[in-house]
Amino acid sequence: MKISGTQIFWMLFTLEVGNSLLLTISSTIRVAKQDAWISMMIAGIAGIAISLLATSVSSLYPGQTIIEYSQTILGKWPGKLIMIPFFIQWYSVIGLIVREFGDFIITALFQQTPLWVIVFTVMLLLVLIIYQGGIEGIGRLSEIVGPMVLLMVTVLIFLDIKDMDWHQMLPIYQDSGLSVILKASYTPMASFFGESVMMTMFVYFMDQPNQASSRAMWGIGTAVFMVTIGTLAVIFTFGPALPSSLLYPFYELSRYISVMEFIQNVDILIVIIWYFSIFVKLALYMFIASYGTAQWFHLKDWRKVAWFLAPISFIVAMSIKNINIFAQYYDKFFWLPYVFPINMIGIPLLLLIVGWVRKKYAMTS
Amino acid sequence: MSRNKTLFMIMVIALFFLSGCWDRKELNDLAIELGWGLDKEKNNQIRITAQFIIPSNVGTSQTGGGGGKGKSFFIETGTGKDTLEAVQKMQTKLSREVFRGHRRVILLGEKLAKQGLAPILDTYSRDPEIRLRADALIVKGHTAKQFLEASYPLESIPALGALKEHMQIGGMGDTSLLNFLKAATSEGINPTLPVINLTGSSKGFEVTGIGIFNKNLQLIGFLNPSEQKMFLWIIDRLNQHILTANMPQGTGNAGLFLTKLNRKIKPSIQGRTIKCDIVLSGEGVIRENNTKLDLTQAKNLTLLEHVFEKATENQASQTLKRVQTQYGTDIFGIGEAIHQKYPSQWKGLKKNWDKQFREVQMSVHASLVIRRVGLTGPSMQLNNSDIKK
Repeated sequence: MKISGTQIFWMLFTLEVGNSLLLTISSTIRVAKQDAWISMMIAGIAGIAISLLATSVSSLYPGQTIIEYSQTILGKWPGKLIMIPFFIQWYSVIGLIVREFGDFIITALFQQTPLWVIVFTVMLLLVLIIYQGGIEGIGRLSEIVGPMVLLMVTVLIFLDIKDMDWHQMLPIYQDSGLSVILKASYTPMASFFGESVMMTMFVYFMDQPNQASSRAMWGIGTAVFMVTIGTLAVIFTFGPALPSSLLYPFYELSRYISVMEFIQNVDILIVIIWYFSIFVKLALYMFIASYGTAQWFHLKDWRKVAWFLAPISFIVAMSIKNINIFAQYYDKFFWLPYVFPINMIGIPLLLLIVGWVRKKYAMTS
Repeated sequence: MSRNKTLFMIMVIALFFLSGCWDRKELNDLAIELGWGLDKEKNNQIRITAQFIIPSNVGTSQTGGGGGKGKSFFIETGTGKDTLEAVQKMQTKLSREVFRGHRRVILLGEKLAKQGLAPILDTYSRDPEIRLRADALIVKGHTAKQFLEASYPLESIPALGALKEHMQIGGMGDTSLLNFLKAATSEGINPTLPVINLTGSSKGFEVTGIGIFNKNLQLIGFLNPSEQKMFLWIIDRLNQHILTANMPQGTGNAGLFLTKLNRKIKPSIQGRTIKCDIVLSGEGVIRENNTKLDLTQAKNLTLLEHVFEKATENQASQTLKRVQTQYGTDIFGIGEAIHQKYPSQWKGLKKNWDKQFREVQMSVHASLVIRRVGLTGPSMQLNNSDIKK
C-alpha cells in the first residue's frame, strides 16, 4: 500500500472541505457575525500549522506510523499508553460522523427512510473500501472525487453571485474585535482543520515521504480557502444575522440559487459534496483506527479489525438520541477541552521534542 | 477469491436497500401547490388557502384549445393554531399529498400582518421542503383567500401572476421573504413587504406599494406606488424605472426609461446631529418627449437631465420625510449605513435608533445621465418654428 503526494493533497482537501462548509459556518457566524471569515482564516492557519507539526514528527521516523514511533521515542509502555487518547478519539468519532451524515441525508432527501438503512449501507461500503483498497483505495478515491468536490463548490458559489451584496461584510473587525474573532475560530480549528493530525499515520505509506509536509499543507490550505470563500458567500447572501439561526447555511445557500429562472434546485450538489467528503473522512478514520489497533496489539491482519469496528460504530450511531445536542456536548466536553489540546497539539509536540532530542543525542554520542 | 465473492454478495444485497423506496413520491400522488395565503381567523387561529395545479388542465388551457376543460387550478383551505395544523386540516380534503417545494408566492392577509407576523414565520426556514426563495406579499383590503379565489386572465395559475407583476415593476420579485427575514434580524433596518391589491372593477390585481413593519413584525403603514419606487431605489433593489417629469415652463413633459440604477448612502455624524446624504444615480434613454425641445442639442439634454434630477430629488425627499415623520421606522437601512461607516458610534445609537431616525437630516442628490434619445430628434409632429433649438 503506497500513496502519492497528490493523493495526500486530495485526501486532506476532500476530508476537510465538505464538513467544514456544512457544519462550522453557522456556529462561527453566531459568534463573530460578519467577521466569521477572519476566524475561518485563523482556524485555517492553525490547521496548516498542525499538519506541519504532524508531518515533521513523522518525518523523524518515516518508516513507522505514530503507533510505532511513539514506542521508539518514549519506550515501549509509555509509547503504548500515550496512544490511548487517540484510540478513544478514533473509536468514538466514527459513529458520530455516520450519524451526523445519516441525519442530514434524512433531512435533505429521504424523510421516511429509516436511519439504520442509511447507516448500514455506509458501514458496508466502508468495510468494502477498507478490505479491497486500504489506504491506497482511499487515496485513489479522493483523487477522483476531490476535484469534483472542488468544482461543485466553485460552481455553487458562482451561481449565487448575483444575489450577493458585499456591503454586508462591513464593518470589518470593529464590531467583534480580536478576542471574539479568536473565540469563534476555536470550533472550526479544533473540530475540523486540526484533523490533519491524521498525517501522523499516513506519512509511513507515502512513496515519497519528503513531500508529506508540503502536500498536506496545500491540501488543508485549499480547503480553508474554499471554506473562507463559502463563509463570505453566506454572509454576502444572508447577511450577518440570519445564518446563525440556520443549521446548514451553505446548504440553504444552494437551495436559494435561481439563475434566469431555470437553474434551480441544485441543492442535490451539496448532498453529493457532503457524501464524498464524509465518506473519505470516515474511510480514513476507519483505516487509521483498524490499522492502529492492529499495530498496537500486534495483530497479523489489520483488515479484520474493521469487522469489529463497524458494528461498534453502527451501535454508537444508532443509539444517539438527538445528534445536534449530542454533537454539541461531544464538542464542548470532549473534543474542545481534551482532543484538540492533547491529541492534536500535545502528543505530537511531545513526540517531536523528545524524538528530536533523542536523535541529536544519538548523533553526538 | 472466496472473500471477493462474499463481498460481491454483500454488495448485491445492499442494492435492495439502496433503491430508496421509502421515499418514492409519484407525481400523481402529489398536489403541487404554487401559491398560498394566510389569514387571521377567530380564536387566534390562522386559515391557510392554497392554490393547487390541476395537472390535466394546465397544458390545454395554455394552448388555448380546450375551452370547455375549465380552470387549471383549484382552491382549498384549512384552519388551525399554526401552519402545520392548518395544512393537516387541508390534507383531509385532498386525495394527494400536499407538496410545497414549488411554492413561489406567500400572500398575507392585512389583518394578520397588522397583528404581527412573528408567530407564523418559523416554518419557512425550518421545513426542508420549503425554499427561502419566495415572494411574500400583503393583500391590502381583502383576505388572502379572496385574493386567491380571483382569477387572472394572463396566467393559468393566478398566484404566479402576482409574482410576475412584482417582478415587472422592477422590484426584484422572488426575494421579498428573505429580505424581510434579513431586515427582521438586523438592527439598522426595518422590514417591509410589497403590497398587492385586487383591482375593483375588472378582474385582476395590482402591486400597490409597500407595507412597513416595526420591529415586532407588525404592519404599521403603507407607501404608495411612486413612493415604493423611490424606496426601492434608495435600498438599491430597483432594476428599472420610468421617470416622467414636467418641464418647468409648462411646455409639456418627457419620459426617461432608467435601467442602470444605483445609490449611495453617505451618513455623517457631527457632534449630536446625524446627517445623511443619499445619492441616486441612473442611466437611461428618452422614451417619450412631449416638449418642444430638440434633443439633438447638447444644452437641451442637459436641461432635461436637470429637470429629471430635480423631480427625483423631490420625490425621494418626500418619501423620506413621510416615513420619518409619519412612521419613524428606518426602512431604508440608514442605520445599517451608519453601522458600516461609524461602527463605534453605532453601538451608542442603536438602542434608541427609532427615535434617532426621526432626527436624521436627510438630503438627496440625483445624478442622471441620458444615454440615448431614441429615433427622432425633435418631435415629428412639430412645425419647424415651434422647435426649441
